[in-house]
Amino acid sequence: MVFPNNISPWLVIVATIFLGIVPGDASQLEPYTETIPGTLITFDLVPIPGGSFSVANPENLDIERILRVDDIWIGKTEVTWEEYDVWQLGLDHEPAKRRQINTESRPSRPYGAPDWGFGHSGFATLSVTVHAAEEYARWLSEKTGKNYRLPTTAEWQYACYLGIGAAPVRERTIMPNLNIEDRDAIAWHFGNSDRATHPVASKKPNTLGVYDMLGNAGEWGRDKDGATALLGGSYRDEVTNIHCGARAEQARAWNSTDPQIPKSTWWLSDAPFAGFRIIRDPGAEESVR
Amino acid sequence: MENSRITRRDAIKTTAAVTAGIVSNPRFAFAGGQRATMRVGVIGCGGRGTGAAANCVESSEGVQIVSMGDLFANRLASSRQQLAEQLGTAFKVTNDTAFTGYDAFESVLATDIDMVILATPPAFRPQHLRAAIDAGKNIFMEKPIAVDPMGVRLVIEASEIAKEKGLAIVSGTQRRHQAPYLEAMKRIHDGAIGDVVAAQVFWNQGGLWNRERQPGWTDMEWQARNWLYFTWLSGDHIVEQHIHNIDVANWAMQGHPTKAVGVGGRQVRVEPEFGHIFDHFAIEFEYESGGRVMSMCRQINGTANHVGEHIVGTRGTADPERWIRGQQAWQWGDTEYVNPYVQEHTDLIASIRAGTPLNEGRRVAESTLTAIMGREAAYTGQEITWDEILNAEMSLVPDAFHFGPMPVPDVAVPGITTLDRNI
Repeated sequence: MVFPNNISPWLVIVATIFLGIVPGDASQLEPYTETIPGTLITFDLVPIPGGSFSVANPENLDIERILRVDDIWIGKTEVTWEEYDVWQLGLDHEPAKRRQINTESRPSRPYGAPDWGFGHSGFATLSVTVHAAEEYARWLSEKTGKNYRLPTTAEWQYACYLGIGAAPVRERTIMPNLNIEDRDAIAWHFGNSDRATHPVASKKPNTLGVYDMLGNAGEWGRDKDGATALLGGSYRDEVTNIHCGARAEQARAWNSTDPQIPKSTWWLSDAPFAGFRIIRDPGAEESVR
Repeated sequence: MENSRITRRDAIKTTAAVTAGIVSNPRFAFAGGQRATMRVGVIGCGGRGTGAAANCVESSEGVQIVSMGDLFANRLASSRQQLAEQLGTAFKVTNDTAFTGYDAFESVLATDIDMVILATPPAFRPQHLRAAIDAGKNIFMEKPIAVDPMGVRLVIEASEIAKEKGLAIVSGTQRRHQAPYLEAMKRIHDGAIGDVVAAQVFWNQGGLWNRERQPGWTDMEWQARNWLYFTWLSGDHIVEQHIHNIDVANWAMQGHPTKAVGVGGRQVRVEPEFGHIFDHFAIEFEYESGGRVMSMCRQINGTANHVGEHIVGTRGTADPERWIRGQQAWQWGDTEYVNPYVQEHTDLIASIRAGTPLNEGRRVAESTLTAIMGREAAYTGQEITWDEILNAEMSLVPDAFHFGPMPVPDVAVPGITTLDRNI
């Protein structure tokens, strides 16, 4: 099939220029499988050993700042609809009690099909606002007693760079991008996706055993200063725009056809590429400390 | 509100007759010269009416929202606040041009406006459309445009009068103004997939919002605030929501079907707060050409989603929002992003200003009637023909509205429910 040469008008990619990465000692954390309490739904988490990475000033390529990342666990896959549905549909409650759930704390009913018919079971959650993603993580933390949240942009990028095999580099060099073949092997992008997401973990994992950080659904992250962005590019982006420094800030077009005013705070009517992955931050948990 | 009784009961049975005595004047709305500013009123200020008002202002230069009306004071107030914040100086509504109650539409139409947005629940649309045409206003009206055959006939009649008066009517079936659909349909009608022989169209999703009944609400207030769940107000979800996809099927087939057979039921969403509508339908429509359209819609939580259309031709297939496959393959390239909810207003206002008013009234009336025909095929369990549904005596909307008792109709039972239902 011939694809027109286009770049999705929904995404404005701004690259972080990455200089180097310094992983810390091997993580003491172990991989584990979480079960959403009261359900048979599970998902896997992978430890990411803390470390630091440096980011360049785009003008002179000098080190602009060095970001330190602590040990965390990161979701092995993007959060899937099975996981998200437990929360958004209230499946953690008995059917008779679902309608009594506080409607302020759970997503409103979406108008239309937020999975856009790409697939549901085993597919990444899509069309969600950053608010919805953060509220999901908050709910999951209350359910499990663990500290789940969205990754910061620094955590996400650090894990991404580490995962694509960025060797420990201590000198100031610009890390080479993955070549196209490598990206094709690990990422669903415009050239191989047929304009749809694919089941999570259907490409090869990165070297940490984490899937789909690049491509497939874009993934919400939050900067230290509160700014939010979708990270890593999505299936709608050209392969050259799929990399660990890719970030897209929410544009007006992402919910422009939500026909209602006020627009939904939970769903993005025109962003079937906005998904997320959660991390667990043990530093914020008394029991782990 | 006696005039509504007269209006509904006077509905003509066929669509040829047009009220006598109309003077044809293509510039009727702008007699004495066009104004630079398009002054717009809004009737029905829920989420969609508010959204449509904002889309309208965004669509074209020189548009102002000058009057508003809603059945409920709280809905009017929140809509006013949101539009005031969003539209800035284009929002000119004052306390003197904001109205509540059943008669609010008459008050809005009496203000100095060139165009009106009709966005109440569809039960009221035929009456509001006719009043707006009589008042000489151009129209943007949300889909669907009626809930029963009598309402459809009223809209067809009113649309003919609008044509005579040179007034524009655009309806909220925004796929008709959406670039990929327009391009795909042009190619399909130019033969890109051969003869169109079939289509499958879907709107399968979870449930929608529901407002808990508050102490002190009468039956009528509770139903009006939860209008989705009452056939007399919404037409049921096959009419209210799935009309978008059914309209695309008619577009591909270049006409309306001649008969329908279908199934449907109320299987999961059975609690009283969900009124009496069904939660799923599956209908087969047959067209003059022999073409067949399979239509499916569902509102059940936790089930597979699918909203879209698939068109089958003798030499290819199409998803008219995305691609054509076959020897004349094509894919929508996303080269320019245009919000179809804005574009429909752009096209409407441009047509008014050019003196060549669009009139989508009959087309959307036929799509609405197609959806009603599907609903009735499922409700009654019978094969329903176009002529039968077009001329059916069914009337679901009360002749007069007042806040008071309003029994919930029985859930339709295939094999027992009949077409000649009247409230």
